[in-house]
Amino acid sequence: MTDATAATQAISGPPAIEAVGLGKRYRGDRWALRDCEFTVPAGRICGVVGANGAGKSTLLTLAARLIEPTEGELRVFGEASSTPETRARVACVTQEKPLYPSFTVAGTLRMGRELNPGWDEEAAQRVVDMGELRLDARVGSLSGGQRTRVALALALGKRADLLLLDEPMSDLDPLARHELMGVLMAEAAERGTTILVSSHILPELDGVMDHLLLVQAGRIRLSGDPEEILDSHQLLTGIAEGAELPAGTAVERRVRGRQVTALLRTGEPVDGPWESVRPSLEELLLAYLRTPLPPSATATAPDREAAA
Amino acid sequence: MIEYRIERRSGVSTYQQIVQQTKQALRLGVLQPGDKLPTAREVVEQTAINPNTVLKAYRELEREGLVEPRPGLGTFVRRSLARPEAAADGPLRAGLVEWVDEARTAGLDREDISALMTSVLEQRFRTGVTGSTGSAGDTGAAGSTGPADPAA
Amino acid sequence: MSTSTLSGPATPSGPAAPSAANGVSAPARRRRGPSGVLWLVLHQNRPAIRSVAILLVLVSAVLVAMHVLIQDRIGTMQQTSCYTPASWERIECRVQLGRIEMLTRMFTDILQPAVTAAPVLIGMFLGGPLLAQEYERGTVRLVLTQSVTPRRWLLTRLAVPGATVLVATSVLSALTSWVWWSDIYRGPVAFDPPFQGFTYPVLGLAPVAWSLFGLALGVLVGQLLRRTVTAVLVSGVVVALAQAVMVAWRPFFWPLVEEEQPYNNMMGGFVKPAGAWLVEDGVVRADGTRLMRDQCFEAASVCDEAPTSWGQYHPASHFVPIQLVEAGLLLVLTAVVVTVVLRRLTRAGV
Repeated sequence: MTDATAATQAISGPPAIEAVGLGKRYRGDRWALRDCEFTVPAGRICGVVGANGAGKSTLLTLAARLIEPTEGELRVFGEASSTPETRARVACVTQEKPLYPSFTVAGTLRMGRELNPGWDEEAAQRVVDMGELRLDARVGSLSGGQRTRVALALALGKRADLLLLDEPMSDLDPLARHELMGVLMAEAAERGTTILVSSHILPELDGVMDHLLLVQAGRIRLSGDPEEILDSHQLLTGIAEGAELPAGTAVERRVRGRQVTALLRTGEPVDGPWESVRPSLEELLLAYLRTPLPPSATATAPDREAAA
Repeated sequence: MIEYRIERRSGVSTYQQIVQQTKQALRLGVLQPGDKLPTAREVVEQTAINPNTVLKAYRELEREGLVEPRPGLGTFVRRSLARPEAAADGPLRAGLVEWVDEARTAGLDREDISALMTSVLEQRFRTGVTGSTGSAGDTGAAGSTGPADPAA
Repeated sequence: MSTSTLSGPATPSGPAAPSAANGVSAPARRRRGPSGVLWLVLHQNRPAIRSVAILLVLVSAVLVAMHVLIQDRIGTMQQTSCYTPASWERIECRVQLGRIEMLTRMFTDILQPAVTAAPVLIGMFLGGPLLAQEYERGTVRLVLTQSVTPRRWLLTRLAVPGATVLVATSVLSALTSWVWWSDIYRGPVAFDPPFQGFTYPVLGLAPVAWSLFGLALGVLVGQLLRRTVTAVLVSGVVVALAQAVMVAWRPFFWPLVEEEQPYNNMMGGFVKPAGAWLVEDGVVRADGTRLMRDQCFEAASVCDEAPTSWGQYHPASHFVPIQLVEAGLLLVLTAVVVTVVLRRLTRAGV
């Protein structure tokens, strides 16, 4: 029991999210997501990372059951479509953080209480109080950051098992960002809540996520524990001339004058005149983001073994 | 109670930072046997890091026999790393202070002293002069003019 | 799964306790009054319900006052023996008649068109924005990520304004029908046949059924357009168009009465009974062929020689069955529109 980790304990139930051949096409034949296969075990804090327009929001919106997949399935706690039970177990803050502008803060929290059987007034109230928001202030008169706080209070008050947060921190100041991330982490620590949080600000998720989904051009490029993903990559530096990189494992290769830098996807030591270091998470993600996905590449998560 | 300071960009993983800071607190006597470590919830609420990281760090400390979980109560310190020899009023420290003063008189500045210390530590520990858990206050470890007080 | 994670070495014993206690006490704290989705929808609709109520009280007051005034003047006319048309040549009777005429004209020229426009206005200002605003502001996503099902939310979201419209138009229609019947149709001066363009829509079931349909149609338009301002404008056009189409269909909701009369050129053709709706008329020529009224205009001489005129009409007694058929049709259409809106909400995604 003392050896059991949160991750292994969580495996006993169905995974929080499981995508099987998932695809979503919007009007005009544009595929926002295609051939996505991944699993997010329950109890994880999963960072959904990618460029703007990569498909992060589509992924979260699908998980929130606000849209239907065009093909394949996105299972949430094992359910392929919305049920009253999963409805109560999933909370979501979409990117626009919609709220009724004519409602007061208190009225908005009341709405949360009226619409959610498991409502936790105290949890919601705490988030609002930390921001020193007046309860009788109209939501329409609040700043963007204050509205975000109310939206997060609503999501936390729901006492969900899965929290879907689409760019939740984008309009918060650094202090509020840290504080609210702390609240989210406390929620996860206390209740084992699975959190799916998207961001295009990479450092925001460093140290926070223990599962990474890298979305690129509608495909899942990486999926798994970030530490394990980092272990299976090497950042090599060497002299450009005469140095051969091992075939087929280079994610990115950049030449600056005589120096060549390359990110390799292999945990094996590389022969040759190379200096090898473990990349930082930011270096790794930037290298992937800079390298467009070859059109033929399918989105079979390259490191599913790392996720296992 | 200990408060962890997590440095995101230090290059050291958050998990290791927690382990190191706990050990440091145990060494300095900030944490003593019977003390309660903050709960994972308290740590993450304050530092905004992943709770599983905290749990992992606590498990590591537990494996080293430094702390023990008491179901329903929390995680408690079992053993201290504090060494009386290294205490603020201990003779080893006094010797080191004396040596540093001497080095300064000899014209070394802070960085010179630090580099000298590092290189000596590297050399002495790599060559296995002392055991891995051994005392840093080995005789002569800091050079000829070192704090040569062979404490217990 | 959540409890197993708790059993890690850092089990928080302190912070968990108050939140658990809170979970127990939360229902006890629940205030009285409407709860759940109904609370939300009532909270959202408060301004609309208030406006409708104020408007209804005002219009009702006007109608009641109108009835009282007309009855008062009828009383005076009867006392001064000015009630019969024969007496209207007397100057003092003409003055009294003028006062009644003014009130009557207020009813037929202002109130009737306004009530006829009510379904259009309801479609525009209650129906159109209802979902358009939720989509435009994204609040439909807010609601659908709470624990309530889309179906339950939408039906409640529609039921509250629906009930408001139902109650308000029922009261309104009862009053207009009453004033029309007791003071206008059977009054001393006004001859206002029930099938007329601005008369039919203010009587009986018509205002109620049309308002509900206008509301539903506006909601559908709003859902399709997802923009409040456009939805308001387009809803108005669509509901008005629907009214125009229905006027064209209305004659066929009940079998027409067909009649032939000896052609009387002096009277200008077929003479319909009082209060009837003449849908079609013309002449029957000596050889038995029928001509429509329009054909007579092309060559008047053709009709002048005809021995017989014919007409198809709805007598006043067809008013109730036609209203029933039309109201039934509108209610079915309303149900269809609501079903489409519900389907789009659950299938098409938000």
